[in-house]
Amino acid sequence: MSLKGDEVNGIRKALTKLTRPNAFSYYLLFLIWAVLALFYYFGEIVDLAGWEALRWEFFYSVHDVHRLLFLIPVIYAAYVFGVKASIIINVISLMAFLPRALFVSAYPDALARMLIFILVSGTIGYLIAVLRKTKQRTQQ
Amino acid sequence: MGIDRIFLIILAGILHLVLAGMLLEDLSNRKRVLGRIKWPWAVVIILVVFAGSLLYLLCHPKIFYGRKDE
Repeated sequence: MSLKGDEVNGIRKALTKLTRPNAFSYYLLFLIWAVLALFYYFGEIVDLAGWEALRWEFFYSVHDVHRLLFLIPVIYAAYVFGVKASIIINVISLMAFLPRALFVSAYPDALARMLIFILVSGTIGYLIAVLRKTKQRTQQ
Repeated sequence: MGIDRIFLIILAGILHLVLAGMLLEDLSNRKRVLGRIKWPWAVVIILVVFAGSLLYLLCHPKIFYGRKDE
């Protein structure tokens, strides 16, 4: 199955729209972040709502993998909006992690694991933003 | 209360100050805000931890792009 010219153009247009700083990409960024924050606390939501069928082991394990998903909005923010956006997304992500580390997590070193993640994601975000800026400068 | 929890609460305070600082700087440079009056936004950002900052971010998308007077 091959893509037709119109379809390729459509995909290219959509990608251009997604990678340009505009209201659409801004709210998409926050939508992704909100979905991931919900996913991060899904185990607790399941407990509160009493959804027995959704009581999967995955939602109650160590949340390092769940936390790793927050790299998506950090990288996206850095790529599309730059360093400031990346820092803000990192800070609000860290604030979203705090209640779990404070009240929920039964695993050791919740604070250390969280801080290591934020250090890594902050560095990645910064490097991506710098790389994108350099690329834009060379293209001009 | 363990030392870990104390560190976490201090960390939450620092994060709030960092985020509030960034948003207040944006608010002071911005010529137009939602609702036209700036001071209620400043109160919300400072007093409503996390949710206030998030609300400001959601209401002012041009913080990440565009000019501040927009």
